[in-house]
Amino acid sequence: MSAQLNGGFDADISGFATWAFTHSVDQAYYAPHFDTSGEYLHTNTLTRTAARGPGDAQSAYVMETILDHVASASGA
Amino acid sequence: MIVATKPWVAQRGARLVVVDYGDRPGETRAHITLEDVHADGPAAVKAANKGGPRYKRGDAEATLEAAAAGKVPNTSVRWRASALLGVWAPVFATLWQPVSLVVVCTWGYREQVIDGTVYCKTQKHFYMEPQTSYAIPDEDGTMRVFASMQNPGGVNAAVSRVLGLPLNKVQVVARRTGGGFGGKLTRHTPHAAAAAVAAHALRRPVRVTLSRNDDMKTTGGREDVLAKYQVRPTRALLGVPFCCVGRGVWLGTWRCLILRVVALVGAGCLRRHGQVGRGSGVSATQRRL
Repeated sequence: MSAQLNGGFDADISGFATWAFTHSVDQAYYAPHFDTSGEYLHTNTLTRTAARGPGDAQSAYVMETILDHVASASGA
Repeated sequence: MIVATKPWVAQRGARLVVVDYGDRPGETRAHITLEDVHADGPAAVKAANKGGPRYKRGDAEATLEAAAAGKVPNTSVRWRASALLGVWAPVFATLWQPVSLVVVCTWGYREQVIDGTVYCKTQKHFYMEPQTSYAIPDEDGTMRVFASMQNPGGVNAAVSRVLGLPLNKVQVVARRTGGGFGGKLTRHTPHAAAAAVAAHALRRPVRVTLSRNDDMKTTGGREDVLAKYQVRPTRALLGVPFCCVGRGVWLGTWRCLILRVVALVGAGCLRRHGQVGRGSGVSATQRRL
């Protein structure tokens, strides 16, 4: 998985959020072969900042979406 | 900075301010979202990229290449066992498919590489109390700053820097934070520093309280994420929900649920790892990030 985070015009804690996302994206599931790279980009908008569970909340959304995709693909 | 004795006067004065950002060479348009950056090509992505970590386990690249080459995958014993464990509960619950059919379909399922893109939008903070700072010039050239925030040390450093004062000449008090949720960890610092600068210049107390709209516009929210993934589930993992609900039968909810149960069993998350015991150390307590 390659993930990009929108950090806004300033770094703030986007570096930590990227690290947290990358290291928690497998959530409670286990994959014997797993490779995730994360990076954050500067954009011309408000700087993103800390929010409850920085990086972890996004990783949960991403992982559960992937599982939904895998589940639907298994019966196609 | 506009300072007034009434909040509405300051707000009307602020609306008269016109900001000209000028021409930014090399940028054709503003990059607001990650899609905007990608729309301008790889060069724009490279210029905006600030890097980040990589987290690896096993050899994912070789696994994907083996699937692309059509080679027989090496399904681990652990996954086979977890798949069988996950099979029994829904099979006995439904009893409408023979166990032999389940096992045959599990091993006979063709593995595939599933790829896709997920976009997780940003999320605004939802505290009720907006950003507020109150700066009071004190004796001996010191400055007292009351602020609703989660990081007094950051305010102390920022105020001392903008005023040119040593750290011990700035007293920061977080009497009431209100809700924070991370929105008052760093983003309160500009407002506290602005109040301190105005109070230092006017030699009188100055308060900065954002309106709800200004607070929502300036705090930012969490990082939105664009993730591209490739997944190659093993036959054991994919076969279980396929067998339990049957090919061509649209039972997406059950399929998702069963897949999660199998994946969690494979990860060992449903085991009981130990018991709580009393020791002679400091009591373990609740925590949250």
